[in-house]
Amino acid sequence: MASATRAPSSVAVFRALSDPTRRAILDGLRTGRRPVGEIAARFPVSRPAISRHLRVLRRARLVLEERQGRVRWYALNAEPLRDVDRWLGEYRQFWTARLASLKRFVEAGA
Amino acid sequence: MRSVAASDAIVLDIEIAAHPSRVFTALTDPVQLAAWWSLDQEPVAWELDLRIGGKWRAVGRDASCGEWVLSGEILELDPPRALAYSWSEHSSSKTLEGTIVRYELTPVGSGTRLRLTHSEFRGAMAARQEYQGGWPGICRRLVAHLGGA
Repeated sequence: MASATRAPSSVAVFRALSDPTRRAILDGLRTGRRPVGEIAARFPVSRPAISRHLRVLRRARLVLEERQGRVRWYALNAEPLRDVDRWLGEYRQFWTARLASLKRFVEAGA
Repeated sequence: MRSVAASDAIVLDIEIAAHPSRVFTALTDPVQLAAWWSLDQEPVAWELDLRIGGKWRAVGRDASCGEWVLSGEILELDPPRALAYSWSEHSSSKTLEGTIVRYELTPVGSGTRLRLTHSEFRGAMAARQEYQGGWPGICRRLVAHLGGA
């Protein structure tokens, strides 16, 4: 599957996941939703930088934002990861992966 | 690589830039099998009694599935043109018995076209899906872990 044929949302998801800080933010949300201040406190980068990361994650729909009074809460939304998982699955296919490995092995020794 | 949808068989073709005899050896020599079969550095131990009716067995483990054992009996042996054996799988996540794996090697120029056919799932569609789609379980575990499924 070529990336050119992907829906824009998949591009946004892959782009969002390409940054280690954003992946760490997602990891931190696995155990439940958190207020933005608490998320920011965990990282040695500025609050505006964290806000930018959260915006990227929000556009990819990997996090959902909820406002309560003046506090913004973020929750993990794992659904878009299915696209990533489907894509990875193509590299995990049992026979396809083994035949490719056989080809590499035989051609390297031929 | 091309996938052909048959009734219940998985059929894959691949072209390899090496003579069929070289490919056949890689499919039947336990030392060479151990070298290419594993995809993740985890060792896989192969034993193969290379004659019609001879038993074969491969034992390995992977992080998500624990130990697995593949085993069966040689059904067809026609070097370097064809090899077929029965294929059973026993692992913590499932048991699959009596499927058949066949390799057919056709010379193409100085190389080989290898056709793999994995058949006789006889209604074990979940297992068929797993061989078509990947080693079992990893995907569902990932999504479940992240709170999706």
